[in-house]
Amino acid sequence: MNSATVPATESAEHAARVAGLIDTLRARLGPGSVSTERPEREAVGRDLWPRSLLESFSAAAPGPAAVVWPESPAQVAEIVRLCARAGVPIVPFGAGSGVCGGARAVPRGIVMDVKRIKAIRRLDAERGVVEVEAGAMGELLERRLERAGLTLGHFPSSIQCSTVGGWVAARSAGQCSTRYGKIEDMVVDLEVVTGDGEIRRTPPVGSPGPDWNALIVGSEGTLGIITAATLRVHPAPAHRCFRGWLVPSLEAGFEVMRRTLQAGHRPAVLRLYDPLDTRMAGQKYARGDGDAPSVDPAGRLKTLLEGAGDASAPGARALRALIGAARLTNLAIDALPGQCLLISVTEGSAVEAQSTDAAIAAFARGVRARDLGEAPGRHWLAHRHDVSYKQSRIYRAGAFVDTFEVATTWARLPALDRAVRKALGPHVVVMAHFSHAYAGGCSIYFTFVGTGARPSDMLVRYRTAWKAALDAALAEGAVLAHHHGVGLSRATHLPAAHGEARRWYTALKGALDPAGVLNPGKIYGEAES
Amino acid sequence: MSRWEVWAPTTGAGHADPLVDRLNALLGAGRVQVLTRPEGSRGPRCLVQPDTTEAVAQAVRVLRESGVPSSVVFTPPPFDPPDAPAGGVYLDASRLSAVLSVDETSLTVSVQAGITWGRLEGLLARRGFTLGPVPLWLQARAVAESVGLNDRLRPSPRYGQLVDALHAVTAVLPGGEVARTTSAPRRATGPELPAALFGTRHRNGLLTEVHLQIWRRAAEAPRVSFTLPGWAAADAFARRLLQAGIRPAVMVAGGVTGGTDVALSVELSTAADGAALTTLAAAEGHARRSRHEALESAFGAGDGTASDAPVVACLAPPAALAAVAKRLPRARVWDLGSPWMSLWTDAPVDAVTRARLVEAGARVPSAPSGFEALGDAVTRALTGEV
Repeated sequence: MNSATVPATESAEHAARVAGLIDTLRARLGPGSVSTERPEREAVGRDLWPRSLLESFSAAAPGPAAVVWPESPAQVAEIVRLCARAGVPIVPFGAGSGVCGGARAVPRGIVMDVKRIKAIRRLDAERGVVEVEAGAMGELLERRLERAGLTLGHFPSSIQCSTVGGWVAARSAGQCSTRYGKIEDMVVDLEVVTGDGEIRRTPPVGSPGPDWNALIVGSEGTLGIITAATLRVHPAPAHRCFRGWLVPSLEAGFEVMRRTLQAGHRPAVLRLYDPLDTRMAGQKYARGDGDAPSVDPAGRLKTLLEGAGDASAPGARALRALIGAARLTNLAIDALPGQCLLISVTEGSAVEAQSTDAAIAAFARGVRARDLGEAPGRHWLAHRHDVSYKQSRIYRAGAFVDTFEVATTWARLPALDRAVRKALGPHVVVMAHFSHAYAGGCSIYFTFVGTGARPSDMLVRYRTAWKAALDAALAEGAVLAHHHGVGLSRATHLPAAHGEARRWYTALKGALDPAGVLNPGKIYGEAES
Repeated sequence: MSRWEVWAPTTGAGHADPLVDRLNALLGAGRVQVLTRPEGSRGPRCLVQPDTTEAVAQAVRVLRESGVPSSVVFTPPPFDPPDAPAGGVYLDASRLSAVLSVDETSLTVSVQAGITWGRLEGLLARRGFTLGPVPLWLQARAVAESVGLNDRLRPSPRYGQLVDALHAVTAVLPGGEVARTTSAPRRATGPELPAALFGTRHRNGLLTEVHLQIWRRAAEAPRVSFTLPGWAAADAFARRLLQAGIRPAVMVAGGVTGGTDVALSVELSTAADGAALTTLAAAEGHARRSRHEALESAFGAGDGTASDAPVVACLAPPAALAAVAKRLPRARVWDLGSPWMSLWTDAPVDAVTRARLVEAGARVPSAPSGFEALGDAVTRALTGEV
């Protein structure tokens, strides 16, 4: 058995090796770069995977044996060499914003927090590139670029609590991906420490020969630890146009998005909300056919989610009652008027921003959408990072919330949407938005909330919902993640999703991480019992 | 090299080659051709021409079991290349050339990967679709061949590289297993696994089917060319053009014969781009040309006869271009305005010029990246050599 797959009931021999490794790390890196203190180990023991949080309500998760803070790629390389020699797993850690368990610690392994490696090595405005180290925080990088009149164009909702290395490792997408692409579209080259402890630089994108960038991006620390990335940057947009539309149905919204992208336009944001998410986004019912119904479960849910209070509060009890009866609540919501909010933000030169805005307007009018003016777009921009920080109040109320993003072609999109809703519906209350569109297809971003009588019940419901959603997405031929990555959340289903293609990964893993110490267990896991 | 002759055996013919019999029985008549050679010459003994993914997989499994080496070809070569496996077989993918389906909603096409870009574009054109521009030098190249070479030779800011239009692949792995990926424009499910095929010349598997992004064919696009005083000026103008949000369907620059000027040619895709470009060029005082030499050398003057092959293709920063501009007067460049430019010349490239390119920061195909040994290890793992 590979030493990196040591069971939880570890051997005394492994414990001795870990202890020896920690001593060596302290000697080589200095005492301030290694810690075995519980608070520090716990701080990096997991990311924001909701399942880890739910599990922590019942039992404390076994954390890592130690956390190390390298200050340079050379130190990363040294740590990897030492861990490989000792057969001790390493989990790379950025800012811990992942929501899939990709940075969850391996018991008795080492967590490597790379945030001290954070320099902007080179900013070449003329060539449009920035070379930045993996531990740089997203928000700070963007602010630095902004001062130079530039933008990366990468705005994940986690930008204030995520790093460049994490973005690249998980194949992240930002809110403006429709114009600027996902992170893999921005990478020019990467500096990476492979499992043999060597620092390597990938050939720049466009090089003849093997495409190592595509193989390292998204590998979630399992093939190498990214220490720096050269990324494309762009002039900050000189002009923006905002617009909101109320489209008569989800399908009509798909049509506007599809036609816009297939005509070659690149709006910065094109974001469609389903009827429930439309209400969550604050859009009221329209006049005419869409008059507000006398019973409004969506409005009730919004009110409760925003002000439920602690678990014992009346609002929290009401919230739990509403989402505990998920099947009924979903049915009631399905009966609501089907109008959907579509937000567009176009940017670039004035000509480009205006011509793209005009093109979207033409497509929207073609489906009888109602122009809501600039307000929805401006409101979205001002509040676009709020959602991430609203979730804790749902947990406080004795419920859980998670998201599940998948992608497929336009032709399969409606069926995938229906199938995942149907799968989740009996277990949790579900809503969705559609915010990463391409000429060939689109992602769906499901948000679901659920509850249970006790924490253990919540965990069961959570796991049941996830399994149902993954099964449905798999059956519909969708890709199981668009930008959150795999981590542990989808690892159960990835072998079935990839089939024989997994052999490529196995070969890569053997070549790049021969000791099997880099973030073991992530991406491909065993089927859940 | 030796020239050989093809002999197509009928089923059950007594040609005394059990491998040919076995392949013939598996794949059907007409899918295996025996190669007869001059006395004393050595080379592959037969040409296998499967026409489905399963047939490729069967052939690969038989060859693997028999320990017979193979070499993938996309058109049967009249002469054996130097690396042709003696006693082995040519695995000819040219019959993997069918269009399997067109999804007019998602604008994707599913095709067998032995089809050439030029033929596919022709078939799509009849239905009002396009792959975007297909330069002359890629017309006769098969899709799988482009992936095996990691072709990045399309000078199109708007459409990008042809090999980046793949949404899903089917490939036969070295062990004969069939790997399929799911179709979607983007994903975050681990590494982009089909990239293991890119630039590895079929060592990590043979691509048999692909799902590709296509576009609706637009009206004839206007072409515009400008004269600029040297490569640096051309690059700077191209950068400003792209930064202004103009995305030409094609953009390529070429040295003007008999001088140091550079012609920057673009094929526009929208009227708004045309108006923006006219304004930009007028503001900067760039002279408009009446001829579109750079475009014509990439796409032909219309008679389809102009064609040449790259002598050197490399990624070069502008400094490298400046360093070699005098040495490579007929060089053509695209990806202008991006961090790295692709340089191509049909002029002879001597050792000094190549060294100057590298000295100035260019990455030429032979430059080591530190990943070569890892790539070899990946291939060994897939072929079962470890």
